[in-house]
Amino acid sequence: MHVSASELASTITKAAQGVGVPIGLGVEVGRATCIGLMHDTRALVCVLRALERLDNDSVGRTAPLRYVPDQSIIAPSSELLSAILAGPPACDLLSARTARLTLHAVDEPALVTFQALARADHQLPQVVARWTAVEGVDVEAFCQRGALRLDAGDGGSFWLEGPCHVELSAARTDLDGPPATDRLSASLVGYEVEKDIWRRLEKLADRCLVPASENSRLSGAGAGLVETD
Amino acid sequence: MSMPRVSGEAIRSTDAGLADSPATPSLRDPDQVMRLTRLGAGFATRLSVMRSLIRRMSHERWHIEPVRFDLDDEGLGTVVYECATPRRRYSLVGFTHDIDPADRTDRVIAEVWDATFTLVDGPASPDDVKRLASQTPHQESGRYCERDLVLSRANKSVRLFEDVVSALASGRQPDHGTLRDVGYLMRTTAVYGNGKFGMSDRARYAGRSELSGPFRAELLAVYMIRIFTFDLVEHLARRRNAARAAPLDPMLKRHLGIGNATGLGMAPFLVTHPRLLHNWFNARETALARVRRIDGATEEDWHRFRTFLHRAQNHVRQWTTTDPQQSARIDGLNDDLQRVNDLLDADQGKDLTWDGLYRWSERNLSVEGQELLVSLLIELYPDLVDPLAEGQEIDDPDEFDPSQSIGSMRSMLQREYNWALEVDFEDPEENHYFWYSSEEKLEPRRGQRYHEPGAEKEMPLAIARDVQWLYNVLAEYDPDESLAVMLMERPDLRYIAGRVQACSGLAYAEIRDNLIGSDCRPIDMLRAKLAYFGASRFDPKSDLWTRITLYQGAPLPSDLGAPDADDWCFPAMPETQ
Repeated sequence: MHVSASELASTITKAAQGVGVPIGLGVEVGRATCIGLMHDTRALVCVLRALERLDNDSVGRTAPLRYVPDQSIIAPSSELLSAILAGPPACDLLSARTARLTLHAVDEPALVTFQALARADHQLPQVVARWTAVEGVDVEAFCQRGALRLDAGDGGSFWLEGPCHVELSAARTDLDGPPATDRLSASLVGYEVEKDIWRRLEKLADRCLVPASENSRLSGAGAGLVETD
Repeated sequence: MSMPRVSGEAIRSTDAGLADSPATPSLRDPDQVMRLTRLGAGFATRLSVMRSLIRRMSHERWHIEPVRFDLDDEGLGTVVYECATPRRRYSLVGFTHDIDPADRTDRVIAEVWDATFTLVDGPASPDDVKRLASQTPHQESGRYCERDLVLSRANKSVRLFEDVVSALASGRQPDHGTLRDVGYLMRTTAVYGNGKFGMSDRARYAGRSELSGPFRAELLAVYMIRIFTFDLVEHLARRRNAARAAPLDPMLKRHLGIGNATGLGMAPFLVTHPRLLHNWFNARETALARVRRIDGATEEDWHRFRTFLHRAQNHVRQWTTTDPQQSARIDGLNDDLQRVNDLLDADQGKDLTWDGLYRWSERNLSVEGQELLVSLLIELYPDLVDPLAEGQEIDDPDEFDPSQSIGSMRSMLQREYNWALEVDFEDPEENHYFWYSSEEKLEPRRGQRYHEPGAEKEMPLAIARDVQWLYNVLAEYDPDESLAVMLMERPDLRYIAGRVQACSGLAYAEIRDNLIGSDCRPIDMLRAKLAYFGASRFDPKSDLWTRITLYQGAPLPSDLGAPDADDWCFPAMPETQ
């Protein structure tokens, strides 16, 4: 089915909220997904897996993430680290204070890469993401202002789920190409999404809705139920 | 009209930042402008979306006509209207439906409507019409494609629609009094755009000159629906009595707009788009400041002002509402306008300046009177203010800076959010409401926090509360530490920290009131946005929704290009029949 970019981003944001992710992080994953989909439709599968892991508590969220200053981010109790929860803070830290950071045992390394890609503009123009995929293949992704280049590994290994230790480093080379926002124009015709995937996303997003009651129906909004104007 | 002489800095230099004084009035303080009591007293200005859209339509001679009009004797069937601009065409595809009057409601939860529409990018092919016939009548439940720009629906005015058809079928014009009181034949109950339900993202067409600017596509669709309503009543009249049916007098058509029922759904937008909100109000306040700085209005300027004032008086006299509070405000407004008249008679234009008039209004008129005066002043100098209507869209996305220090963020909050820090959230009345989306067709609703379930799913509209929360948590951290470290530990504060950064320096970005307090009247938010659109005849039905009229007084397609096509502020039915 056809969905627009803004519809996709907002549904993913709501789906993230539906599994208990704070809205600020939900907005980040929505934005990252749109960037990811510019490259491959598997980005949506990645995000859905990450959301459903949060939903069934297969990733660490019982306590705050452990941050080893200027070194790494680790899930509480050495559990699997959620890319949704850890990706944005990792990008923050790369932008603010450190040139290199490792995310331990991340569930979706590709999603971390797209989060870095979405942020790879003014604050963090270039990021390199490196990890060893579960099948043993080394992957290196160079992210610059919304553009992604695979310098090691292939499409198959890039999209494999973790757990992987993902090393992020802020690169410092000459900038090439227009800002990330310009690259988004390719997504403006919208996306074709499998109905099953959309249904699963909507199921999570619908948790943000409040069940209706007769009282809320009558008093929670305006106009009457029958119009006599 | 020649450009007026302006005191202070040149027109095109920075308007803001001048020290406010009678010699060089600056932009009004956001603590004054962005309070709900003043937002809820706003009026359309020549910077409103509809006014600027009509100016473009007229200047570029856009052409609108039906290219398909397949309606039966009951007015049921399919229509396609095409709008030709210099560069592109847009098509309004419409379907009319036979509905049970008991099912007719303005609420988002409606399932059927008298008419449903989609605005399509380009000519509408037979395949487009066939595709939309299967989707448009279902509105939110349908799926659309990237060529579909706007989705809308409309219901007939039960008070007026049949009366007009009957009159025309009898060969006579409808009663002016009823036309004046109602103001529209049909009423839209939702106008969707920007990527909803698979439709085109706004960014896809925002670069087009004809649709640049917020809500232009939506309001183009509404204008075309307005034209359809005239054609519909004339069609029905002809089908009833071909021999005698009369067309609707163009003068009456001009007075008829499109009604709209606006509920809570519009309110969150004002909160979730703070940078856009700033652009709207900054443009209006800049326009006002420019007029106030004019040094010595001419006799012609004053004559024009009196003409607009007289027109506004007629408009207000014809403004009807059943809401007692608004009715009292209208009575006060009538008195206010008479006071302005009396002042001008006494002064005879010799000593008064526009700034003097405005300052006088702050001391002597109601808030609604002051805001109406603002609209009148802005109306006077098109060359000075019209360019401010352009360029209001947001081009660059928010860029969050996690390297900002905790101390710097706290200072920012103290400087720019003192209005929020002053709210006492220990008082339960300040936490009275929560905003949410209902499972029932995603209808936005407002619940009472202490009496209704669902507060844990509230929309993030409690800006004042969340700013305070952020401020208090920041106090727990080393002021030299970066936000990045804090947000790792407190991801729940990410969105509000990002918002504060994005709004920094934007004076009019925030509604400076507590939106979850017991005093909050959502209708004030609705009116602010509707005034920006260019709506008139606000007719509140409760604190949660209002009826308005769009395009009342606006030129017809045949009027576009005429010298007076832009002269339709404060419309009123001519007083002689």
